[in-house]
Amino acid sequence: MDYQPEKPSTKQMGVSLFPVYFITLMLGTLAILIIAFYYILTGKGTRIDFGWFLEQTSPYMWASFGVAITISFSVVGAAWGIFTTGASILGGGVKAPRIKTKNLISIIFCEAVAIYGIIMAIIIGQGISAFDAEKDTDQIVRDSYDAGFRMFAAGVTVGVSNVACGITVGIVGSGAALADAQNSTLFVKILILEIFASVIGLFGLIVGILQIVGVKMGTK
Amino acid sequence: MITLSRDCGNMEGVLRCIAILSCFCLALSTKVPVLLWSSSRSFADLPQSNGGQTVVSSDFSNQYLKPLTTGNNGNLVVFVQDKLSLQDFTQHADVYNPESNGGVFKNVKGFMDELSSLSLPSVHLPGLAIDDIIKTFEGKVHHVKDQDASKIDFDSKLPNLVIVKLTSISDSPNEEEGFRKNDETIGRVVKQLAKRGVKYSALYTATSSKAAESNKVRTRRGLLSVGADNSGTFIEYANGTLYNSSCILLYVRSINIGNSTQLNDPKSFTMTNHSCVDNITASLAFTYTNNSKIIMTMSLIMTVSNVSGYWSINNTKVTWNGGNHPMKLKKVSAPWGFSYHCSSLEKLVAINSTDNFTMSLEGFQLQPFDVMDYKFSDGWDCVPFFSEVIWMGLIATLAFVLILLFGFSMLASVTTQDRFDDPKGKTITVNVNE
Repeated sequence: MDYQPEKPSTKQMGVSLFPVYFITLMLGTLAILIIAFYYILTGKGTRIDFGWFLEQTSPYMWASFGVAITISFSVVGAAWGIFTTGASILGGGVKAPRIKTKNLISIIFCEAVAIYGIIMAIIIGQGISAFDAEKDTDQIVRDSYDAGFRMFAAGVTVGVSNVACGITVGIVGSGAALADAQNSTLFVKILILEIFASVIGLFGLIVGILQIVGVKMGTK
Repeated sequence: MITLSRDCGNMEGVLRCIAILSCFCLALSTKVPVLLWSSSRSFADLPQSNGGQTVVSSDFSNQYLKPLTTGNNGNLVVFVQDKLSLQDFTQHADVYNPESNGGVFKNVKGFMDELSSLSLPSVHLPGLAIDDIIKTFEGKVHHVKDQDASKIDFDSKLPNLVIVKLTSISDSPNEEEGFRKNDETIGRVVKQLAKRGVKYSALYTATSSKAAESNKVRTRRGLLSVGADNSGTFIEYANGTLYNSSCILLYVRSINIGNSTQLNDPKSFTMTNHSCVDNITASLAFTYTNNSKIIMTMSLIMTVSNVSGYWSINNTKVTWNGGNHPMKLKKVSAPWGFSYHCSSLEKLVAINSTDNFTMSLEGFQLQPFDVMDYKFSDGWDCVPFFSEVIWMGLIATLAFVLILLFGFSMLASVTTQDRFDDPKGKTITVNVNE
């Protein structure tokens, strides 16, 4: 019914996937260890510099990632919710066709999550504009870097909270559909739960807007 | 004669002790090991040396040399060479072989093993103590000539002091041969003394534990001419220009002024000012001439920050075509002990933002502090191994790969429903009309 990721099963692959994951993890760890120890033991430990990384990477990368994370994670949450609820409505609607119309509200709540995401993505994307690191004044360059990081943060805020919201609304909606199919007086009470579930997505949107307010990238 | 087998009494124990104690040996060249042996006297009255302890010169004179040179059997034979250290024993005496015969120190090991002996791994300046005792010795002092002891006239009533100066190790073609020759001399002299029936104690030591700094000409850098005041010259090296001095090293393949001019002829560079008096500031100034006319001068002042330990170029002045351009070269900076290297140091601009002068340095390497042996230290590169562009690509790739992995795992978990499968029930048949 619901998507439940299981342990990698030997039934499907014929061989346990655990050694594959383990070897990949060990190789990755070994590579990182070798690089880190090379730097530390040759006296160049200060070259492992996260500050340099944050300073030198372009703010456009961070801003673009913010936009991408907003819309994509919101859509993932909404989609997950819709597929959960939709499967239940369809299944319950076979025996109790009256639930079909009323339970579309759950789908709409899930859809709202995706709308939050696209609104935020557009707002964040509007803030991206050009700046010249060499010719602009220091204040503008600093503000642009600040804007890049803030857009990334807003994107993560909205995206991750919308994922959680979408999944929640979906599962609650699925339960509501099946309860409604059994006993139609239950639906209204369960709708209150869905409202609470939907509000958490709104929280994410509000905080994201607070983070993005006042960013100024470039001279426009 | 009592042969005591103390911990460090026999030669093998000595060599083992010496191998272990060599770790405690400080790198000062004034601490020299001393080996004593005697055919006629036990060393029970002399204090043993503790691990890691350095016997001071005065203690060495009073507690060791004096008892050996007094009394009826107070004949002391001193074998002195210029260099002896614990490392020489570990290197040349075959110490890691339990059945070794002492390697190049065969005779010395034989004497230390069979006769009563004592070893002092670390004595401070024994050469001075021996010189003192030569001056204040009451008996007869014999300096052996040509390492032949057969002609020495021993006084039977007074103690005798025989000084045998062994050949210099640093002047030998290689150290092992030097030690072997000296060992043979020791063996020969002791045999001669034994044949004459002289009762003696023998002492083997050196004046220093490190070879004196050799003044040999370094044949590898025949082109190098170092001025008397430590300043260097510009020479051509590896397709570029190298400024070689003992405290500042600079290498540049070409200096490009503006977009057009390239200054890369090693012969046109001349040093005008060079100073590196202490470990905090260094300065270098040079000119570039073209047809015996100076067209560019550049002066660099480097300082070390005492907060971060990084040195950086503090002040750069370039004159070009008569114009004076102080440049901004702050990014040339590396920690103490590293040299700064950049394959292409571009877009160097003047401090004054209205000045349009730009230059770039190709193939640039500079080390103004902590220069050892005329060689560049490890290079602190201007471009890290993963540049920021590579990191951005890696992050984007990682995000993409993670999303794909998640998606594929979701896809792989879609299975056909087997809830209503009933292997024992009727199979479904579908009639297909052709």
